[in-house]
Amino acid sequence: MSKTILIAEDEEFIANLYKVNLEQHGVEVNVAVDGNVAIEKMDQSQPDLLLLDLLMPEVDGFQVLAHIKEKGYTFPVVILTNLSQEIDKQKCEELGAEDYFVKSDLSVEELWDRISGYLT
Amino acid sequence: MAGKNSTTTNNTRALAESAHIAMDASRRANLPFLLGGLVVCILILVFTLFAWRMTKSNMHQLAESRLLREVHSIQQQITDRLGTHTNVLYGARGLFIASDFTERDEWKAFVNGFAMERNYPGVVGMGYIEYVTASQKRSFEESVRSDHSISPVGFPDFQIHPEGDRDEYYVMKYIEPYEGNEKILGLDAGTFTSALLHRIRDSGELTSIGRMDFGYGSNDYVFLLPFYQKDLPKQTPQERREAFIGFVVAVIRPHIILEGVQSVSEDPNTRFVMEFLDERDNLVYRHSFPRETLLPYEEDALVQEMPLQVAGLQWTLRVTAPSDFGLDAAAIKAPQFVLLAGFAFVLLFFAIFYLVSSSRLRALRFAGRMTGELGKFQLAVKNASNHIIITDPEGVILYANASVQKITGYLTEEVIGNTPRLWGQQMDKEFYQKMWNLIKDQHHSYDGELINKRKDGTQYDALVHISPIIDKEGNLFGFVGIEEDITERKRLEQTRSEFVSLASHQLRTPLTAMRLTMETLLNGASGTLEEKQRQMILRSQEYAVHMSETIYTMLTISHLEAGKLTVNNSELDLKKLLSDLYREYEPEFERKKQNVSCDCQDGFMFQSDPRLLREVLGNLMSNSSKYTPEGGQITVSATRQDGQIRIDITDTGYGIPKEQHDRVFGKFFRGKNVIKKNTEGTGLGLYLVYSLTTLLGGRITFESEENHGTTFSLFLPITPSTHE
Repeated sequence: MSKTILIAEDEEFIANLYKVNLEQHGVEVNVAVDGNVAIEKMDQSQPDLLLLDLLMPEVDGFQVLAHIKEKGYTFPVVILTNLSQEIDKQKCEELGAEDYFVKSDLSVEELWDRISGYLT
Repeated sequence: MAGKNSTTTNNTRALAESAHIAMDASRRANLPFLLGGLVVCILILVFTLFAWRMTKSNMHQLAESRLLREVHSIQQQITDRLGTHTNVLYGARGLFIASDFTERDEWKAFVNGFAMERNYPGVVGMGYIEYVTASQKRSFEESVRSDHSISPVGFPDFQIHPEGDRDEYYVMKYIEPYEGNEKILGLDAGTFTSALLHRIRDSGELTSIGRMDFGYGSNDYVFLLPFYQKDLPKQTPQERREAFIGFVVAVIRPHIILEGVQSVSEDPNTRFVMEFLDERDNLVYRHSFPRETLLPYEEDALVQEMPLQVAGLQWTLRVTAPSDFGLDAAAIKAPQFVLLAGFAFVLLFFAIFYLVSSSRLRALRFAGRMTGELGKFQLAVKNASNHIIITDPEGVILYANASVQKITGYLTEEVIGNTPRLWGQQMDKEFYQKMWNLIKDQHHSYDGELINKRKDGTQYDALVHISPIIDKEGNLFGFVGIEEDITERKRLEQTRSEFVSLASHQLRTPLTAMRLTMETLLNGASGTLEEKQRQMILRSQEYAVHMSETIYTMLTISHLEAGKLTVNNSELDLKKLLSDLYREYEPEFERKKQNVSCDCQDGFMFQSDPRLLREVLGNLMSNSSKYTPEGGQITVSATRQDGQIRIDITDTGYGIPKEQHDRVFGKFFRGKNVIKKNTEGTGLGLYLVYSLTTLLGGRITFESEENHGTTFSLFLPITPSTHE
C-alpha cells in the first residue's frame, strides 16, 4: 500500500503540479485547497505526511497546525509556503511542524529529496 | 530646528554664566572668613607680646626676691660669724675679770685654748691693750722687760712705740700668737686713734676700730672690748672712765669670714658678686660666686644693698646678680618660650586657617560648580525626549519630567504623588507582580516592552527601563523609570513586516507556479518535448532559479538590516554541514567538472548558528563554483587557530581585480572581470556573507590574484559573543 501525502494549498494549479510530480515517486497525493478542507480530510483519514501552506483564505496553516496539535495527530507536517520571515518559522516550529521550506526556492525533486525520509 | 538650536545655545550660555557667577560668589563668600582669620592672627600676636612682657616682669620679680633672700642669708651669715668671733672677746674679758688679772702665760694658754684657727677661722690674733698713764710708763716698760713667764730671757728690749712722751698710752701688752707679731708688742694704739679708743672706753661696748695694720695684714679689722676694775661702778661713762683698765683685742681678717659665706641657692650655676663697703663706701671686700668669674654685669643686672651692723661696724652689703638670678633654666627661657609659642601658634593658626580657607574656597567653588553641573543635569533630564520619573520605594512619583506629560497626557500635577498605575494596568496582573518582585525585592533593574494607556484612553507601546536606587547601606531609596514611546516605531515595523510578507508571497507564488510548470514539462509528466523546446524551458528554468535565489537573498538582507535575524547558537558539526553543502551544490560542481576537496576532521564540533553559518558557507561555495572556470579546483579546509575556528575556501578562479579589493564586501559588488562571464550575480552575496559573519561574532578576509584564484578565510569565535 502506497504512502499518502496531503497537500494543503490554496493555489489549485500549484497544488496539482506538486501532485503530478510527486506521484511519479509512487505516493498517493491528495489536495486540499484550504485549511478547513485539509482538516476535514485528515479527520476522515490521517495522511502519512502533510505538506502545509500557511497563507490560505479561510483557515490558514497556523490554525491547521493548532488543530493537529489539539487532536494529537502524529503524522509529520512539513510547511511549504512562500513566507520566509523568522517569526513565521518559529511559530510553526512551536506548533509542531517538522520542517519548513519556501516553495519558490525548491524544485519538486529537491523537495522530494528532503521529505522522502518522512515516508519510510 | 533653527529655533531649537538657538534655545540650546542660550541654555549653554546661561549655564556657563551661572557657573561663572557661582565662582565669583564663592570668592566673595570667602572674604569675611579671610578677614576674620586675619583679625584672629593679629589678636594672637598682641596677646603673645603681652604675655611675653608679663612673663618677663614676673621673672624679674622672682629674680629680685630670690636675690633678696640670698642677701638676707649672707647678712645673717656674716652677722652670725662676726658675732661668734667677737664673742671670743667676752670670754677673754671674763678671764681678766675672774682672775683679777691675767699673766702673760695665762693669756697664752687661754688663747691657745681657743684653737682659733680651727674654731674661729678669721680670728688671726688676740691681744691685750693696757691703759698706761704717763707716770706709769717707766714702771710698765720695766715690768714687761722682766716678765719671764713665757720666755726665760723676758723682753729685754721692750719699750712702748712709737717712741715719745704722751699723756696716756694704750699699749699692746700681750699678743698671741707672738711669733711673727713681735713688732706689735708694745705698740701704742692711741697713736692711731685715741679719740675712738676713748669713746669705746666710755661706752663699754665691743667696738671695731676698723681697718688697722697691726702687722698681720693691712686689711685686718681690730675689735676692742674694754674692761674695768671689778669692784668699781661702771654705769656711767664717767664711772667707766675711772674704772678703766684696758681692752681685750681681737684681730679679725674679714676675708676669711666672708669667704666662707654660702649661697642659699643649691644651683651650682648661681652667679653673683657680693661687696662689703665700709661707712665711707670704701670697698672692704669683694667676692664673687663662683670664685672664678668676676663678671661684668649687664645693664639690667639686679642690685641689692643691705646695711650690715656688727660690733660698731657700719658696713653695707651689696650684692649684684644677673637679671635671671636664681631662676632655673626653664624659668629663664619662659619669656622666650612664651614668645616662640605665640609665634608658633600664630603660624599654626595661619597654616590651619590657610588650609581651611583654601579648602573652604574649594568647597565653595565645588558647590558652585556642582550647582552648575546639577543645573545642566536637571536641564538634560527635564528636556529629555524620554519620559523620566523618580519614585519612592512604594512607587509614588516624586519627580516627572516634561515628557511624562507629553507621552501620557497627564499633567505633571496629576502625576506627582500618584503612581505609574495611572497610565499602566494594561498588562495582566501577573506581569506587574513579576516586575515588582524583580525591582523591589531583588533590587534588579527591569527592561522590557509593555503597553500603557494615555489619558485620552488610547494605548501606546512603551520601551521601559526601571532601576532601583540603592543607597550605600543597601536600602531601597526609590526607583528611576525611563519610558520611551515606541508606538510609532512598532507601527512602522509592523508595516514593514507586512509589506515584506506580502511582497515575498506575491513574488514567490507566480514564480513557484512557473518553476513547477517548467519542471513538470521537463520531466515529461505532461508529454514528451521536442529537444529545442526542452532546451528553451531548461534555460527559462535557470532564470527562474536565479530569480528565486535573488528573492531569497534580498529578503534575507532585508531581515538582517531590520534587525530581525537573531543568532541561535547550538552545537554544530562542521564536517556534516560542509558535506550537506557539497551535496547541495554537487550538480553545479559536476556540470563545470570542478574538483572539490574538503579538509575537515570528523566530529569538528563547535557552537554557532547552523542556519546562518550554512548561509555564509553556502554563498562562498556557490561563488567559488560560479567564478571558477571548468575543471578548476575548489578546496575547503577547517582548522582551529589561536582560539578561533578558521575556514578557508580556496578556488583557482578568475580572482578579484586588485583595484576592487576594498569594495568586495560592499552591497552590489561585482568583479569587473566576471561581470560579462556570469550575468546571474546580484552583487549581494558577499555583502550578505560579510554581514552574517559579523552577526556571528566572526570576521572574514580574503586574498586574491586575478586569474589565479581567491581564498576567503572565515574566522569564528569558539565561544561566540552574542550579537543583537
